Amino acid sequence: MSLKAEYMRQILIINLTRMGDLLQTTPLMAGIKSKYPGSRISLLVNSAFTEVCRGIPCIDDLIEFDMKGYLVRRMEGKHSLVENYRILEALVNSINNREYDLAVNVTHSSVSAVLVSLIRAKEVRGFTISSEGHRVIKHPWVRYFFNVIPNRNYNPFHIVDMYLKIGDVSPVTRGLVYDIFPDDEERADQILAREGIHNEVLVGLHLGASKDEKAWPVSSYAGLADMICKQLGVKIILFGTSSEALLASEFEKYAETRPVNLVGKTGVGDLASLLKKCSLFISNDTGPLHVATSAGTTVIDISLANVHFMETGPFGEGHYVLQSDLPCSPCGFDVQCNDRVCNSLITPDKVFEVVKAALDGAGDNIELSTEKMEQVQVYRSYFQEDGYLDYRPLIKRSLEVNVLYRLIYRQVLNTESGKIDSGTAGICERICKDIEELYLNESVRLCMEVISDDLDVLAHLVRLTEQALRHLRNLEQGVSRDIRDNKEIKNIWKKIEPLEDEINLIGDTHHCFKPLTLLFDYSREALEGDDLEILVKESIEIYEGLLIKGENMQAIMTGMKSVLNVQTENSKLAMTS
Amino acid sequence: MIFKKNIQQLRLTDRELADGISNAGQSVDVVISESRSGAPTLQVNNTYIHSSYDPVKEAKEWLKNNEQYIHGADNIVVFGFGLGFHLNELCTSTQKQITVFEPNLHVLKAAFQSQDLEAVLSRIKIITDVSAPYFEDDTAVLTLQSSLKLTPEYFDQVLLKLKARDILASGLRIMVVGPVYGGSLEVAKYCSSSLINMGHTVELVDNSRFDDTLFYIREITSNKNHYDALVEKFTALLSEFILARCEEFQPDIVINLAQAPVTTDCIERIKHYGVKTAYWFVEDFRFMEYWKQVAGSVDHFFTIQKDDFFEEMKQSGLDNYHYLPMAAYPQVHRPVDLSEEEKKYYGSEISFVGAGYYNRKHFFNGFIDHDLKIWGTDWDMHSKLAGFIQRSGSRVDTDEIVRIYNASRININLHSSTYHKGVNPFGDFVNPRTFEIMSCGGFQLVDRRSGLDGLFEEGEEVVIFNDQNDLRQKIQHYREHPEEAKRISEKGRNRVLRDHTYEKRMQEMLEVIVADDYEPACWADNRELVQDLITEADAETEVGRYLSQFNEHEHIALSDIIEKISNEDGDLSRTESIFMMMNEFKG
Repeated sequence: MSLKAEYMRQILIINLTRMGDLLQTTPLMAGIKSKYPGSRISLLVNSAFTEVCRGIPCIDDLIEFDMKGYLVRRMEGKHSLVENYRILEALVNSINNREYDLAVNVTHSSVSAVLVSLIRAKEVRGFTISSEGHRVIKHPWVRYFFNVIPNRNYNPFHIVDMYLKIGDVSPVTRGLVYDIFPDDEERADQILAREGIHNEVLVGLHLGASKDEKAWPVSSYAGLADMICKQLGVKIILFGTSSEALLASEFEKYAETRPVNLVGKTGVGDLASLLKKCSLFISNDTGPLHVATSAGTTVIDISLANVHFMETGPFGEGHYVLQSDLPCSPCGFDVQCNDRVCNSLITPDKVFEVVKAALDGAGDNIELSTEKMEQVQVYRSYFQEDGYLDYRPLIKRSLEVNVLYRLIYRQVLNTESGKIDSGTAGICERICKDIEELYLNESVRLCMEVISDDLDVLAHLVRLTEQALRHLRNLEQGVSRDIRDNKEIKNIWKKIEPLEDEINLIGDTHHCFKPLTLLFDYSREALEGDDLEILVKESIEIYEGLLIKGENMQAIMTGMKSVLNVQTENSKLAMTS
Repeated sequence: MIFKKNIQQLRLTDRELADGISNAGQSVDVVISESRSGAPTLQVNNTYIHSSYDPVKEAKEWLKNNEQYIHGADNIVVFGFGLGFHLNELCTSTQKQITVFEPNLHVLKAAFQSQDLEAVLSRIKIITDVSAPYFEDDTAVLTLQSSLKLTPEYFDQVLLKLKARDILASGLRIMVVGPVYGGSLEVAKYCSSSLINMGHTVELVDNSRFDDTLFYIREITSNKNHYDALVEKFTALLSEFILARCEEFQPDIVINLAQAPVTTDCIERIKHYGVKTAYWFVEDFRFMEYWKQVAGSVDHFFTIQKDDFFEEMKQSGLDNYHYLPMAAYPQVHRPVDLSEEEKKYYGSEISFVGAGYYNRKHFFNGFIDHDLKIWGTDWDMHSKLAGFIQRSGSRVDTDEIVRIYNASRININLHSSTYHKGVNPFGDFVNPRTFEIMSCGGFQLVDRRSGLDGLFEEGEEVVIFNDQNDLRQKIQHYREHPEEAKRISEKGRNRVLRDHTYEKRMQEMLEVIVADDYEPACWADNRELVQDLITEADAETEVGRYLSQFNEHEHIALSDIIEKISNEDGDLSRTESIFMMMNEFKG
């Protein structure tokens, strides 16, 4: 149960991740400030990324912890157990200087999970541990976040929006938030002046990525840079950290054009300011990509390997993403790919097409030929009516079933606990209109056939849920009696267990419903305590949640089916007449 | 007169030693003479052990010089008995427990003959060999310098033992490596549980989970060369597993049981970490020759046979062998209350539990006129014994064996032989069954083994038969004198509980290991002194109080704390959570 707005005074956000992730929590912080005016936000960060916090508004207290330093210290073995203990104890004490009304852990590491369990907070959301040390995921949207890892192909939400939902706040920004200060601007001007740049159109490139497989080849970047310079007459700036200096040297070997090499020469503030001056920023999935979007610069994201841009791509209106159209893209987190085809399919000339359109301000009206962009899809980001981000494919290709489910899940999950009754037809018409616009019609029909078959399975899942709910309601009566009949209670539990197993089995055998069953499973895992009455009550809520989601999904799927049937009939009629 | 009185007094507490002193002859090297003060004094090998002027005054000074050590200790050990002047002074000045080490029985005899030791004998324990009593707390070692010079090697050995006990008292990390299958599998489990009971941190590497694979290799090929090569590779793989576990667990000592799948290369690599290695070869060296490969590679090789085996190992140039007989595990091998049904099912006048070896198949034919039950595998169901073999010779598990030992009026124990027709006249080692039956409180008739000498007192604690006729007579005798059988069983059980448990064996083994220039393994650096940590934390703080739970260990690492946390139920304390968080920082 969440606290009322007026009681949300002290809020702690734990974000021990990297720069990009920090920036991606900025809309959450803005949302909190807007929903709970007068609240104070304390942010716990890894001190390696303290610098970026300077430009993040909404932080009232910054608590730093040197994660790497502590790890090195532990590994060196030079300090006693007690010394190392005291450091963590001091961290816990400094966080617990005040009591929090809400603590949100957006870090998904085990360290943070244990840490959260030690914090004085009335409400905790995120990955933590129970009083007995078992894993607990608190809050439905954090559970949803964890479900995304195995079910990423069905996920319609960007991580920023998931954070908003975890915070139970509405989107108030239409992008990431980062303040650029006058001194940052000054330094940026000085850097550019030093490089002899005054009024040229600038395009920024970032060559590296946190992992090799996520990085587009330097030779490709070089080829692209040459095309941009020669054909568009703009100036290229290379950005990057000092550890990426070798990539910059490599780039200079491949490229004919001479870029402005700022690799390793910028702090976060200068970087933001310099990126703001760029007309376009081309990058892999990196922290600077998010700095660029927060500075309002259009981004082209080259999304490779296991990067799922739907979750972590450029956040904001009008950014572009290129991804290979291979059935394995993006690969799973646990994949070790030995044949990076996705990398070679995205060629400099394909990216150049997007660069031209982006610099022209073509928006969605970019003209990309299917042949030219063979096996590569280009997406453009936009905010849907629900206020959350989405990416629209710009080349009309076949609809995949998982994409259709993604659209359905978006509706189902947005509805949260309410039942879609009125307006189902409108929703279905809108989804159908969108997919017919964006995808080849024949593929839409094929997808709908698959969905029709899946509807029977879904109906079974709904029935199982209803049965389990009936048993649970009997159980609720049984446990509320003054004198409990333990035998009867056990008997009812015994009836529920096989139903649970069957529900989970549906998720395993029909992967399209795995998000439903996994969320259900995580919710059950999060049940705590040993008060039977409370456990039964909470179990009923979990089953009701599953039932509502299942029924809403049925309603949408059935509605879409009839909309598309009518359309097919109409088109047949039109043809015959 | 004085001698007799002294001996009688000692007999009350240590009959064996009293007999030893009585039987010790007079030695020309040990001479009692009168000192100037009139008190007797002692010379051994022409050296004065006490002052030739005034031994009493000398003893008082000795006490004064040692007072500071006595004051700070909980127990006192004295090296050298002499004529006991210093002990007399010591007993009047302190009430602490006193143990005196004196290997020379002639010296003791001289003291018993010349001094009234009533006050001393009622307070002290005398030890003449290198077995040291266990001291939980601080022990002060005081020496009678003149005695020390007579047998310095003996006192060095005792000192080493005492130091060993000190090391062991703090608890070590011990890895026990079991076999893939076979008799030593159970032994490995008993060793592991015993070590845990003794306060050590133990990791049992249970290789029995690979038994299917090993058996499958047998099915794969009938080509012996190929089979041997596969088994060799399989053993090498398991050795790598053992090494991997070793690196994870970071033990101080690795104890391998017979047939443990360890290659000599694996043992060398374990030793490379500074880990002490031991091997308990609970096998008959005459049948199992692989000791030749393994004995030399480990630091200490323990055997259940001595004499001939020791001679052979000596011939092979080895000097790291030690005799360590089998034992019982009283937590499993115990008296149990049986229902009437169980008594009927498991009970008989005479019984035998064990595999149908050649000698047993012959031997038990001589008892088919008795109420006989035979339990175990590998018996011939087409022989005359068929009607006596229970459950058609299927396997009997430990729990049932314990019930059989409890239910049988007489448990026959015949050691196996593959070529004798009954009792092996040259049998030496004592099988586990001997100890287990006794530990169960069962009455046993066991065939003669040279190894039984020194383990049990014949006729008092154990009854031994020499051949079939002898056994028939003894069965008849104890059938008629059940009270005698009961008395012997009780004494036998008490002896097992006192001297022949796996805990005793493990203690003996560890003492040998740590007494031999023991240095901690390389990873001991990762561990810290518990006392230092508590002092650093301040014993009164939350973390200080938490760490005092580890007081029984000398050293700990974070992994020990995490292991303790994961083995306990209930809510985590704040301190535990912080340690858990620390553990999550991994490189």
